[in-house]
Amino acid sequence: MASLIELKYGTGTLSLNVDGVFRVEEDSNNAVCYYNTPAAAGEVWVVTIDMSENVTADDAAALELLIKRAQQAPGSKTLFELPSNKDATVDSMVVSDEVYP
Amino acid sequence: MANQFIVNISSADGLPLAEAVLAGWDDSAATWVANGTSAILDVTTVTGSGSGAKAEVEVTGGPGTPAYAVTITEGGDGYKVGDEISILGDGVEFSDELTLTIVGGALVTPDTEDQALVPVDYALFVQLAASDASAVDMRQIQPEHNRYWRLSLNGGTTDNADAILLAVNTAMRQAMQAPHRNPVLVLPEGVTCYDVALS
Repeated sequence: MASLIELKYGTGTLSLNVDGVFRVEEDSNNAVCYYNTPAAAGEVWVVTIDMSENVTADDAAALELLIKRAQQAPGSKTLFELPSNKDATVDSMVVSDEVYP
Repeated sequence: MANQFIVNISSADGLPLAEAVLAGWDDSAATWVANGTSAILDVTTVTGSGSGAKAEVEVTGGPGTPAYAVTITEGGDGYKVGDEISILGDGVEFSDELTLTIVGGALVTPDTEDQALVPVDYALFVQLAASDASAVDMRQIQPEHNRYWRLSLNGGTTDNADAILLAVNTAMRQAMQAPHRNPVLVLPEGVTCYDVALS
């Protein structure tokens, strides 16, 4: 079963499948999740999470830790709140390709 | 075995108008003002319950034999064959109105199946395809493929967009977390799905 994390959205939460995520970074105040799925030669798919508040490097590190735990608990769905602002909600998630970091 | 959720397909509550040139308008009541392309104008429902469509009208051939070519720019929701609609000119290119009785070709083409299966094995997340919730996308990635399943909806608005998105998210999550259960997507009242496609 898929490992999911939940992000606050409106009156509920939106799910993100984090199976295959091997790295999370902060970039331009967003969280970027790297998936172990090739997009092209030397590139992988990433999901950029834009939150209502700025994502810090510490937030990204916390998300990476949460994802690692979720991946070891198949079927889990764990709520992620930004440590720097627990009221932050997700504005958008975008898939793109990035050079393998 | 595959993990998926079920979407009931329906056009019972009507469909959007197809966003394309729409022929067949009765221009006998329209009054030519100038040749040119109009601003975006509202499509008004005379009979029926459709709403939200918009159009632009290209006026040519005036003043002798004016012709009015209508392009639907926003499809709206809830239109049915036999409904009567009109476009009131704003007095720049034409005034008074064009009218049309909707035929099948004027509407978007719905899925021919009663139900659609949406596989979630590669699903990542769901997102609104437009702020008015006219469609919801479920993104998925596979090696060298970044695609999405698009659920085209009738009845979506900016007011119920969040509720629609959360409903689709729930169906996706249930299908991912309870393999082989085939949950059914339950949309908010007044919202129906008329097409499911992989893009």
